[in-house]
Amino acid sequence: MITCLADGFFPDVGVATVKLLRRLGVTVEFPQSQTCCGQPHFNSGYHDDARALARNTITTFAKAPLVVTPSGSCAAMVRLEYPELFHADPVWHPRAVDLARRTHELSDFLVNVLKVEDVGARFEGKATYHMACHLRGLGLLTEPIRLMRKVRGLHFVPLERYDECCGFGGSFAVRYPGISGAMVRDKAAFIEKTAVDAVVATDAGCLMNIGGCLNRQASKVRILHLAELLAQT
Amino acid sequence: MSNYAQHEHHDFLGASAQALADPTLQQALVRLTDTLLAGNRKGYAALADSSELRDHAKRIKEHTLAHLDQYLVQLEASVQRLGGKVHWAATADEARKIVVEIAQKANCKHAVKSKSMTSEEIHLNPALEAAGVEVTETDFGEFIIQVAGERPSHLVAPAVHHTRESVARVLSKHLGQQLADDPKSLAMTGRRVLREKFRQADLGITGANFAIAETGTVVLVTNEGNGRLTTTCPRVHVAIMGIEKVIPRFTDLPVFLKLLARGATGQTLSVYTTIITGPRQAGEYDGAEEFHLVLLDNGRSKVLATPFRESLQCIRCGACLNACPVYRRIGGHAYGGVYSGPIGSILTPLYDSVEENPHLPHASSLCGACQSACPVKINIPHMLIGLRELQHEREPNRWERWAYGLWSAVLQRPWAYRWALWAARVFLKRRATNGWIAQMPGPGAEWTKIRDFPAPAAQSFRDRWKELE
Amino acid sequence: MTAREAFLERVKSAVAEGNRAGGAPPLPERGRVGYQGAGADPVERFCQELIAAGGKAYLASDADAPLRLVQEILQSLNARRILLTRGGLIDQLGLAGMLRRLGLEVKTLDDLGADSREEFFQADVGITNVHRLIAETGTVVLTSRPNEPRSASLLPPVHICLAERSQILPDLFDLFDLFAPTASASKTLPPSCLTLITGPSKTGDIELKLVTGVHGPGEVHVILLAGSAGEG
Repeated sequence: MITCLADGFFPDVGVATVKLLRRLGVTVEFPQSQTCCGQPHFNSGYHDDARALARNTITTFAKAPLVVTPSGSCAAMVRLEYPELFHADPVWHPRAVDLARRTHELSDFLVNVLKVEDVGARFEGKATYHMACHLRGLGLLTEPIRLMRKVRGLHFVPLERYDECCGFGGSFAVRYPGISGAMVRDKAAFIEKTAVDAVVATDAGCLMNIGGCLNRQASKVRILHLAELLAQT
Repeated sequence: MSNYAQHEHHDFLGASAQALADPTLQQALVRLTDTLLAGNRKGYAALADSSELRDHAKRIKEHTLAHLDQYLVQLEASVQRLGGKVHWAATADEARKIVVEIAQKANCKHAVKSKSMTSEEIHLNPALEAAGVEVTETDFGEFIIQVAGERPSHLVAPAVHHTRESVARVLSKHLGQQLADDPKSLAMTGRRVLREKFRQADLGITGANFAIAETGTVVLVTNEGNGRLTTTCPRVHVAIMGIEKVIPRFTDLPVFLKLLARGATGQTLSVYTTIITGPRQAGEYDGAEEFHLVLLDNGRSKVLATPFRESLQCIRCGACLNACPVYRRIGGHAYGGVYSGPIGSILTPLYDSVEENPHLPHASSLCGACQSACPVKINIPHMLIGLRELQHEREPNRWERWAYGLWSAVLQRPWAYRWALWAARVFLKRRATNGWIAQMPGPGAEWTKIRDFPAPAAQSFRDRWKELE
Repeated sequence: MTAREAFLERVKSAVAEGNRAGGAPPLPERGRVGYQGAGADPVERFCQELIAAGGKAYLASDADAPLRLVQEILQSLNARRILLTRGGLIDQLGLAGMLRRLGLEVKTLDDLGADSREEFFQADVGITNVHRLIAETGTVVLTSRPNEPRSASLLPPVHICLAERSQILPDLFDLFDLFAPTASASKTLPPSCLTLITGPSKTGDIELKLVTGVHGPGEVHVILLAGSAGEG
């Protein structure tokens, strides 16, 4: 599953995910009928719309043995919210639960399903890690860091308050630019303090927010999705 | 010190902007939330199975709320058996009248109060003062707030928005003498002044962190000891509690005690836990002779009937405030209610009204840090989303409804989605430099006030999938 | 319908309306969840936790030690007016007499009338027995009873308590189990006031700067005797 944000804005993340998974011997399919998991609608309180999009996603992936997505937020939507969204629906609830069980965020899939931490990646330089909020919900507190620490040539620099929200939050960033802006500027300042070459995260939302702020400040730090980092050899 | 601390308001945008522009407040908030959040994490980490204990605490609350009527009847019987009196207050107004009547009947003139959010919620102090009863807040932070004529800005650190200089100013003016701005000596001045109040007091008013149905026990947790003084010195003790504070058994209490202090500050236990079971017994030297328990509904039963019931599990530790990146930046007063932070963003719209507090359900990035810090793992993000849904029912925003509907209609059709990606690419192409857009049209302009927006890729992933196959 | 009945009726229907299909969860049993215990050495653990909370712990190794320790503490504070509760170790050690012989102004409950609350406000130090100690948290547990006024550990700026090592319970849960219904007895009703004290009174209300003694005692001293007699 490639998220709509990655599809439209960060296609390299999708390509990197495919390359990485193939390198690890996984057969990858991309059903073209997928669009969006429905999280923006769910979060904004439009649950009927979210259910319609969820049904599309559930149908799209009905036959896939496992679904991997390079996005904590889509994985969290499918795993944590779909079953709840259909809790009173005898037809869709079991299908939602079934998809939830088969869906994994990328780092979760690598570390907990494939049981690999060293994926044979190489990166020359210093990198730090920002934890996307949805990984907290999924309980993936250490997986990305464990993967990063096994990347050859990578000098890992811890980030102050690495698990604090960057201020994205979907419509939140547009509704409350003052508060969201204070959050992302703090995040950018902590990143600059680490003097790294790249900041790594697992979600397109964080990357567009943090990247947008770093770019506005003419920073030299690159944004890198975990999949892009791990795909490099 | 900012003047928005002085009155209730619902100007969320104005107040939060003011808070963001106040460097002294920002510094205080960072210091407080950094310290307490670190304590929270250390506190949970020190308990080998804190996650299981939190689950257990949550199940106790779930069970109690699912049988609340029965436990309230049991609590009443237990309190009465010990010689205490139980009062049922359906509304804030009824609660105020009950307390005023108790004070008048017992001929009380000087009340001391131990920190109680519930009494804050029912605006008790003005009612007592109108009835000729002097009321003194005795938690040191609350005392500062009371003298300054403000509202608390944090559940457990009510005066966090003050500095040592502003506290010295406020207390100097109140006492009519010049005080140095050293925290230790200011606190000792507080001790001296408040000791006199305890000497005179004939009425002690407290909240209740917990009440135990099985034994009729009321539990107060403080670090200063004012809860002990308030229940020991005056001859009458009135405890006011929201009905959700009841727990079934005496042995359930330590589950919550272990979590409350760890969640709030990282202490293994708060300094004083005062566990009161009935009035003073024969032969005892001190303690209140009269004990009253006021059970307050004030909208809680309405919430109990809805999916927002989970919010009634809150034990008011303040952990969600400390964990919240939004609270950390705008402070408590911006929320405009008695309760602030993530839990306040749920309670204020629920108990006041969604219509009057349109921003609170939205002013959250739904990052979930609150739930991780909560001793009973309340799913605050879910309830904020639920409130957004409720808001659409009550006050639909037609333009927004239409936009989300259209967006969803597009996303449900892969061909339309593909077309929309193309349209966005063409539309935004001219605006981009090096892959970033400095100024977006429409609602996106709010985004680019702060940061750049990524330009849509020249080729979407689904277009590139063909080469990958 | 009375106000009370209307109140309860409202709660009852809200409970029914809000309970999701599948029924309400049963009251869970805790088992061993959350039990910390005190490790290999409860005495050491108690002392560590008390010190971490800002209190002071003393081990009395011989028969003369308790009095000597009390005397040292009082001298270091330059305390004059001492207030003693009754019974337990305080009586067994004959503390009142010994302190009087040192020339201190000692008030016991025997010296105080029914309305002598002022003595508690004026005392420099309150000395009490304890009901139990909790090793996990460094907590002193007191119960209200005729011999143990609540004010003695509350109003004076310094609190000294005497305890025996056998009074230490490993975990907070153990304290509450003492009051739980057992197979033989229906239950022991808790006292009118059960007080848990963990270190000196603290506030951080001004700039998070820790200040002790804003309301309760600013100093808590616990003297642990080697004995094994029951509670005080």
